[in-house]
Order: sequence, then structure tokens, then C-alpha cells
Amino acid sequence: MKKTFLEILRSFRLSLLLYVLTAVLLFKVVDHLRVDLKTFDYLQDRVDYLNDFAAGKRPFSPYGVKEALRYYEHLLKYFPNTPTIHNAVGFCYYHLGKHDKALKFYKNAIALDKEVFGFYYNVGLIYIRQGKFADAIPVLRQAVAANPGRTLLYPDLVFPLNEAVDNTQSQEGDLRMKFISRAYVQCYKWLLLCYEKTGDNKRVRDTAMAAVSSAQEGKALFYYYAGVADFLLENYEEAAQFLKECLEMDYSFQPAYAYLAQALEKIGRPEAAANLITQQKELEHLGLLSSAGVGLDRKTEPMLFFYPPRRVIFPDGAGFLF
Amino acid sequence: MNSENLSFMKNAWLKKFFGNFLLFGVPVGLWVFSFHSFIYPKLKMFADAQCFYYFTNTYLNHIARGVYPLWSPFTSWGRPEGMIVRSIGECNPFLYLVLLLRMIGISFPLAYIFYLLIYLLVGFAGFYLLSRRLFRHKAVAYFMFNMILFSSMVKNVFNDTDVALMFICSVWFFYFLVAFTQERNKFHFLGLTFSSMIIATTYLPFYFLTTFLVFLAGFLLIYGGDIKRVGIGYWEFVGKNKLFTFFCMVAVGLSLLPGLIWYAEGFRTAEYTINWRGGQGEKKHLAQFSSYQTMNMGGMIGPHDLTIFFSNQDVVAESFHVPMFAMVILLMGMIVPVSRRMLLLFGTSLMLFLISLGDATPVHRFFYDHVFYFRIFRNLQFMLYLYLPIGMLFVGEQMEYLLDASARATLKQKAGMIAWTAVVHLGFLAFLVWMGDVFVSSFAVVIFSFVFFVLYFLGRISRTGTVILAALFVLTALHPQEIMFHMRKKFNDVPQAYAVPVPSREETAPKFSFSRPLRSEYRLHNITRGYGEVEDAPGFEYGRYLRTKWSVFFQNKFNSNAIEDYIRHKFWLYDAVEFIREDEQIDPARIQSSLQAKNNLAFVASQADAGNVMQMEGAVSPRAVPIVENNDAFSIVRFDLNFIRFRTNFPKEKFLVYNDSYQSRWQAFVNNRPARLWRANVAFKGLRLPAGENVVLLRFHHPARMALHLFLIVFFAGVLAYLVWSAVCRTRGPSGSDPDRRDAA
Repeated sequence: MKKTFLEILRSFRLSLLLYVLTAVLLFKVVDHLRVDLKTFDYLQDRVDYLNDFAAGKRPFSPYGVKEALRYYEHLLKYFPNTPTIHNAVGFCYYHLGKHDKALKFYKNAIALDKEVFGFYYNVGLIYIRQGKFADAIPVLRQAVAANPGRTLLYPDLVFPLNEAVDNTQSQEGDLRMKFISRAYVQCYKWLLLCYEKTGDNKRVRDTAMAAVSSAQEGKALFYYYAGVADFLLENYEEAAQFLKECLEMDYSFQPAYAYLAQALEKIGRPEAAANLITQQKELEHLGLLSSAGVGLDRKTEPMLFFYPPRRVIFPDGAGFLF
Repeated sequence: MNSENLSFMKNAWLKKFFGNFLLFGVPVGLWVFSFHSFIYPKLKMFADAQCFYYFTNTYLNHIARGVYPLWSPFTSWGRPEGMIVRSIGECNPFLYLVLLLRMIGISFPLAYIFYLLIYLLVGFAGFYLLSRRLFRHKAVAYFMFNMILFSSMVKNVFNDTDVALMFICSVWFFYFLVAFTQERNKFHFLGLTFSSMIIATTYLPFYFLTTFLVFLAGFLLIYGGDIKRVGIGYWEFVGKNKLFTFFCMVAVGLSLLPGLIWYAEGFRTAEYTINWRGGQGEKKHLAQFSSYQTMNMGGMIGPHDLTIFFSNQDVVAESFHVPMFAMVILLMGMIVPVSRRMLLLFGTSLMLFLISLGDATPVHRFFYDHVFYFRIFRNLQFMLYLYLPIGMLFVGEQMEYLLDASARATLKQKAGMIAWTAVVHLGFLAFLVWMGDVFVSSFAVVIFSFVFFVLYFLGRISRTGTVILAALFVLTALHPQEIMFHMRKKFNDVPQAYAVPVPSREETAPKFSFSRPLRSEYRLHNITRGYGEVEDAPGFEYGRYLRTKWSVFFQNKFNSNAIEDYIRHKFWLYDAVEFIREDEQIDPARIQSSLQAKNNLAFVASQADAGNVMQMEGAVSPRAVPIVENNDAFSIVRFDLNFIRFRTNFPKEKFLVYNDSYQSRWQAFVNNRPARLWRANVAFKGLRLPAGENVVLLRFHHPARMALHLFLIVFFAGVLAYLVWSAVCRTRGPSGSDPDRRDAA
């Protein structure tokens, strides 16, 4: 009997048992939260890379973005309700070319904080890139309806460095505001593009007018869109009015000339139309016309909100900043 | 012996030579290729490796001109150099390979990396020989060699050199320990002595000490019954070789001297401080942490996140990796019965891992509370490179069992083993698929491994042939190659990774300057600040851990903008002295305004005379006078790291302040007669100089101290030469060193 018992015992003397006991020991003895927080602290430079990249200070490195993604995905385990972490994960996926995954995390961020313009902006950007204009419309409408102040409440919005370079004398707060304002303008442009692609000219006109009244920049473009929409809706008087406004604001806006000339002809002012065409040709000859701003700007990038550093203090006084 | 025999022996020798060359040359060649872009076209380094690299150059340049750096006059307004010298292991004879290579015209970057790689290979060779001692099969030892070769050890040479240096001497220590226990001869005892000497002179021998103590405790626990036999064997050896043992003991004692002296100086009422370790707590020694929290500060956890091991993501310099094949063996080994040796290896490795987790487990706290030296070292993640090789030996044990089991298995058992192989490999493949985004080579390793084990269990691969060696090499090397490929790609053309330019010998030779640069004028590369400067720094820099206590006080309590103009001049002449208290109960604001206004009043620490003012004889200048160049009244005669000699010829008595940190080991001589050196203007040196011509010498330590260090360097080289000579004699002798002929331990 004794021998049998020893044999049974010996048959359990396998490495597997050693592994199991080790796993139990590690599970019992190790303070996993502390280990994770230390790891976050240790991996801090991955976050620094991502911020630098988002700010345009460092070039894209798939390794750098992958490492940052690992950091943020790990962080989500502990802070599943922090929208900026979801946004950062989405940001990483976006740059790794996994747009569907990025969408999922951006949408998570929206679900957690419905007031932040930047999250809608990021989702809208992906839809636009994918050509899903109908899907983009509700998101972009929410984006332009969001209060910019709410986005600015996030103190760690990363904005591209070139914005700062252009305005070295400005205060950071002004720069942030300017950055957000431009992003709003961009959202309006995308929205107009979406309506245009879906053939909803009335919406184009209404949105363009809304943009004119709320946006700080790009008004010439919005007048242009309003003018073209009215032209297509055969409201030639209004179209001519808006297109004139457009050219008064920016005489170099080439696409407006043709529409305005046609609108003027439609409302019985062929001389004015002819003059306009002549004026356009002269400006064209001098190289003073451009069509910048119309269509999709391929350089546009999503926004990143640097997850604000947090300090965790354990009862024994140990502190971690991550 | 006829010519036919000679020819046969020659052919056999050549065959063996080429066989070994192929066996080890191919992996080593691949190993070098795996990090070639870190060396060519330009050397790349990260983190602390840059500091060691820079400091090694400066140190060796000084040694080449016969000067051992005890003091650095250039950084932190002057500070002792002892701790920084420790970091490169200045007694290690291999370090001086750099000097030899430079003598034949090789540039420093190349010579340095050559030294590190050669030394690392010496460590890998030690690991192979240790494995040969432990395992019956050459194939397993060869597998171990490839395991260590293709682990992340080499990445640390480019990231934190200390770790690699620590590993090498530890491996050789354990090799000689095992060999001596098995054979008990003079050669192995000498090897044990030499590796102990090297360990004693590493920057922090505590990592090794912890490893050894944990191993010893495990050994006593598991091999309790054999202790007496082993002990008697040792004692018999000592009895037969008293003089030799005595020599070895003296050698180890000598090697402990630099560390012990440095440690003892740390007690000298805290003349030095390590800035950030200070905090508010009570400290008995400068190296001690003020609190357990300070000790555990920062991210110190190593490879706890095993996803790094599999995933195609984190390929940074400091992350660890071992060949993926090790994981396959660990899984295959689940059915391997645990032997005592396996238990010892696994237990030691596990305990060291738990210690390395710091305050994340109660284990380290226990040692911190009960073992004194645990209070003076941190960076516990360095333990990784000591417990990892031990863990590898555990894997080797499992591999050996698997290879042996097949040989004695019945047909039915073999079928069972093949089935087990299929389960493990398919399971592992499924795991890799589930993980997603893993290294592609992981799949290849698992598939090749399956083929290898099936063929082996079917008897198609012999246990002793070259096929098994080639297969083990491929299986081990494959996955690390992909990691290193990504590493190379990641750090390709990253200017931040390029090794900083180092000064030439001529540039390293100390040149005295009467003034320091302002902070705005300081241009030295940020990462190497405090590591072997060859030009004056402003002095406000962080100081890389160590400064004199009073220079830290001066830096912290005085406004740097207010004193920068004062501190930039090294010599000031005064006609009056005010004695102030020797402790910290002084009025920094008053002294600061006096220094800023250049008042003709020096402040000298003297508890007995505190409050008194002493006027030098003769006329008084309205302001303190800085010396800005050599002139008739003051000229520098000679200047080096550890001393300065100058000539003075003042018309009247003067009090001279030399803005180089005060430390009580500095000595002053005026006209060859000892003179009192004061702590002046809070943190600096001051002395009274009589009117007329004087030759003044200020030196740090007695010259015998420098001689001791230089002697130790030569002594270590001598012991290594003796060891190598003994090894050569052994291989030529009748007994040889064939491990197959060893006694059973």
C-alpha cells in the first residue's frame, strides 16, 4: 500500500506540477496592479513617441506606434471608461492602417464622452477616407454641433507643431483654440462634401450657411458651396449673391468664377458675366488663381489626446506616475 | 612514432579543428551579423551604454599616461571619481584589450566594441563549458550555447553594458565552482579565485552575491546529504595546498580593497551624497536609500509581460528575449520528472525572479529588512541576466531528459511521445494564432520543432551526430534573427542612437583653465555629462549620482544665477576671512550676497572660531580679486586630475580660495611643508599663503593610493596570465580537461 502511494506520488513529480505550483505562487504573491503600474512607468517613452509623432516632431515609425498601442491597450484594462485612452488606441490603429479597428475605439470614446468634438472628427475622417459619405454625415453633424470648449477642456490635446511654429508669439491657449477652429472648418468641409456626394443640394446650402455664421475661417469656401448649391437648385439670384461674396473674400478662388458667370447669365446680366470671364482669364494668366480647399484634403490627420499623467499612491507611500 | 601516425594525428587534429570551427563559427558569425548595423557604418548605443563607452575612453586615456583618476576636477566643481570607475570594472584585464588594440592603430569605437564582443563570447564559452560539465550530451551543451548566444544578452551590450559584464564573470564563477567540486585541482581553484576577483571589482557585486546566496541556500536544502562529502573534499584540497590557498585568499582580499575602501569612505560623516537617493529618511551610508519607496522608484519590472516574448511589437533595446524554441522545450518538458538538480535550478531562478520584482512581492522586502546590502542597490531588473541563464540550464535538463527518454523507450512509449509532441506543437500553434501579430518565425520554429522531435523519436536523427547539432542551431537561431531584423530596422538611421564622439588622448590630457563655462556655454552631450569630462563643466549639472556633500549644499541653498559669476572663476584672493560654523546652520543669503558683491571676505568653516573675523596683514583691496591667467604673482606649474601645483608671489599675505570641492582627503603643501587646508566659501578649498614666493601643492590622497590601484590592475592581469598558462599546461598534460573524464559530483 505504502509503495503504491509512493508510486502515485512519484508519478506526479512532473515539471507540469512545478509549473502549476509556480503559477499559483505568482498569482498569490505578486501584487499585479503594482507590477502593471511599474510597467506603465517603464514604458512611458512609448507615449512620448506617440505624442511627438502626433505633434509632427518625429517621423512615423510602425514600431513606435505598435509599442504605444501595446501601452494604451494595456492601460485600458485599468481605465476602461477613459475616453482619451480609447481615442489613443484608435489613433494607433488608424496609423497602422487598421481603420475598422480604429473606428471601433473612436466610437467607444464617443460613447464615453458625447460632447468631445475631436472624437467625432476622428470618426468622420475615417468615413471620409473610406468614401462612406452617408455614414459620415450624422457623425460630422454631431461634430460641428459639439462645443469646442469641451474639447479644449482636455488639457493634453496634442496639436501639430507646425501650428506653433506659425505663431511663435501666440500663447498656447490661443494656438489650441486656433487648431480646434481649423478642425471645425475641416468638419464643415467634409460635411459639405458628403452632402455634395449624396446629391443633397439643399443640405449643402443650409450647412454652408451655418458654417459661414459659425466658422472663423474658410468663409469664402462656404459661400462658394452655398452658391453652387443654390445654382444647382436653380436659385440663380441667391447663387450669384453667395458667389460674389465668395470672390469678395477671396478673389483667387478659381472655381467660383465659372459658376458666378453662369448665374449672372441666367439672371440676365451677360455683360457682367463676360467681364467676369475676362477678369478670370487675366488672373489665371498671372497665376493668381487656385482651387485650394475644394474636395478632400489628403494631409488631414486624426487628433490625439495625450492621456493625462496620473499618480497612484499606494498605502505604503510608493507612488507611480504614468 | 612513425610518419604515418603523425600524419594521422595531424589530420585528426585538423578535422577536429574545422569541425569545431564550423560548429561554433557559424552561430557566432550569424550572431555578429544579427547586430552588424549597430557597429557598421557607425557605432550605435543606447541609454547607459553611452556613458560607459564615453567614460571607458577617458579612463583608458588617463591610464595610458600613467594616471589613475581618483578625482574629477571638471565636473560638479570637482568630485571623487571612485564610484564611476567602479562602473566599468577597472581591474578587469579584458578592458585593457582596448588599449592594446588602440596601440595597433584601431580606433576607439571599434576597439571598444571588439573588447565587449570578445568578452561576451568568453562568457558564452563559459556557459558552454558549464553546460558540458552539467549535461552528458554534447548536443544539449551546444543547445545551451546557442540559447545564450541568441538571447537578448547582446542587446544589453548596446543598452546597459554593466549587465553583460556581470553575467560573464558570474558564469565563469559557476563553471569553476562546478569544475572544482568535481575535480578539486589547482587550476579550477585559481579560476574560482580569478572570477571572484572580477566579481568583487564589478560596479555592484550584489546581484551576483544574491544569486550565489540563493543558489547556496537551495543547494543546502536540496543536497543536504551531500554537504559533508563536498565539504571534506574542499578541506582536503586546502590541506594539501596551503600556500596556494593562502595566495588565492590574499588575491581575493586584494580585489575587495577598492570596493571596501569606497564603501568605508561612504561612512565618513557623509562627505559625499548621492542626490536623489537622499530624501528625508535616516541614512547610515551614502549609498543607502532613505526609504524603501525611494529604492523601488521608477519602472523596474523586467519581462513580466510575456506578450512581448511572442508579439511582433516591442523590439526596443532593453526588452528581453530568448529563443522561442525554449518555450517549446518547456512545454514538451511538462511530462519530464523533476530531478533534484532541476529543482535547484528552477527554484534559484524563480527566487531571483521574485526578488527582481521589488516591492511587487513581499520577498524583496524581507531581504531588504534583514540583509544589509539589500539597502544599497536597486535596478533589480538586472537580476534577469543572472536568473535567465539558470533558467536556461533548467530547459537544458528537460531537453536532456527528452533526448534520453526516447533512447530507452519502447515502441508504444515512442508512439506516446510522438502523440505528446503533436499535442504540444498543435496547441502552441493555436496559441500563436490566438495571440495574433506574432513573429512569423515563431510559426516556423514550432513547425520545424515538430519535425525535429518526430524524426528524433523515430530514430532518424542520432543523439550524437552533426545533424542534431545543425537542427538545434537552426531551431534556436531562427526566431531571434527576426527580432534582430526588426531591431536593426527600427534603429536604422536614428541619429539619437549613434555613439557620442569621444575625445582623443591629446584632448583627454587635463588642461587647466582659470574659468569654467557658464551654463549657457556648456555644450557636452547631455547623456555623458558627469562621465569622464575632459573639460570644465559649469558645475551645476546633476552630477550623475555623486557629489561632495558641501557642493550639493552650495548648489541647493544658493541661487545659481547669483553665484554663477563667482563660481566661474576658480581662484579668488582675499585679505580677510570670516569664520563660520562647520554645520549647516549658516546664513546662505548673507554669504551669497557677499560672494555676489565680490566682497573681500572669504568664509571659512571653523566651529571653534565661528563668528570671528581675521584680517591678513598689509594693505587691503576693496574687492576680492579673481585670478584669470598666469602672471608674475600666480602661475600654474602643473595640473592633473589628482593634484595641482602652482607658484605664488604676493607682496603680502593672502587667503586663496580654490573653487574646487573641499574633501578632507585633500592635502596641502606650501614649499613642501604640510599646510592646513580649509573648507572655504561653503564648499571649496582655501589656504593661507604667506607673502613672497611659494610653491603650493594640493593633492587628493597620498600617491600610494594611486599606486595601489595601478598595482591591482597589473596584479589582475598577472593572475589571468597565470590562469591561461595553467589552462594551456592542462590541455598539453596527460589528464587534459575532457569533461567526460571528470569525477561525478
